[in-house]
Amino acid sequence: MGILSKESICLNAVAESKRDAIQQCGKLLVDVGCVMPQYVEGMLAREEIMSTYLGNGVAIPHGQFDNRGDILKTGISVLQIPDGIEWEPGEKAYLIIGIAALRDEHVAVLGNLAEVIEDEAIAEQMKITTEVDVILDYLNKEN
Amino acid sequence: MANSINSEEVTKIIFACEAGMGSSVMSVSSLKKKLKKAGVQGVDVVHVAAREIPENAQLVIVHKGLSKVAVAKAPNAVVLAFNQFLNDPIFDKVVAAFVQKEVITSNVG
Repeated sequence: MGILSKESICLNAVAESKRDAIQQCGKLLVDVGCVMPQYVEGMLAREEIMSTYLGNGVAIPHGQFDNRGDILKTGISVLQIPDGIEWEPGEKAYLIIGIAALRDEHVAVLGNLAEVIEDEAIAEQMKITTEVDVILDYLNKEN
Repeated sequence: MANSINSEEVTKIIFACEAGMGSSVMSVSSLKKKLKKAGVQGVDVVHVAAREIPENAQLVIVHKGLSKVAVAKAPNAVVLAFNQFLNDPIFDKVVAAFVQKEVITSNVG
């Protein structure tokens, strides 16, 4: 299984709060066996210190340096919230990308994500698509 | 603390964030693309966790919240602090400095 697979993608999600969104996104990483449940607490703690909102409706919650011990294997999860959830005052996130990385196996996926964020049309498509393959095709693209 | 370095002497740019697994990875990808587009060669861009910044680092780019950590880890490095992980104006300034072979000056300290 790759770093990002369809098992770690959840489309058409609804979140009550940013905290709820991070918990759902973290649970995807727990369910595919990438992290221990306490890693999600680390994701929440990191977000308190500094927002992981990147712009164009994308946030990348992840743990802190000290949470590395709770990572079992490198993985990425995607929580798509078509209605968005307020991440920063006046800024909604629609694509929540959970990250747990031990080494550099995930760099290519994040490189693709950076391209998506810079391309508003693709980002827009990913925020509303009902096809998991659309997400996989953009983020798992080989360069 | 060294305040400036000639861009021609820089062989490696280090991006640091707290965990070294998310934000800095995105910034590295973005800056690499900008450097390539500008035709700059011979400089490597890597990401690390702030507490693992090597002491002999030449040029370190960090979020402003981590600039003190960076200066403490690599006192001889030129440290540049930014506010946004993607598309911060400082990235274009760095690229321009490499293209025009200019001196890069630290913006913290």
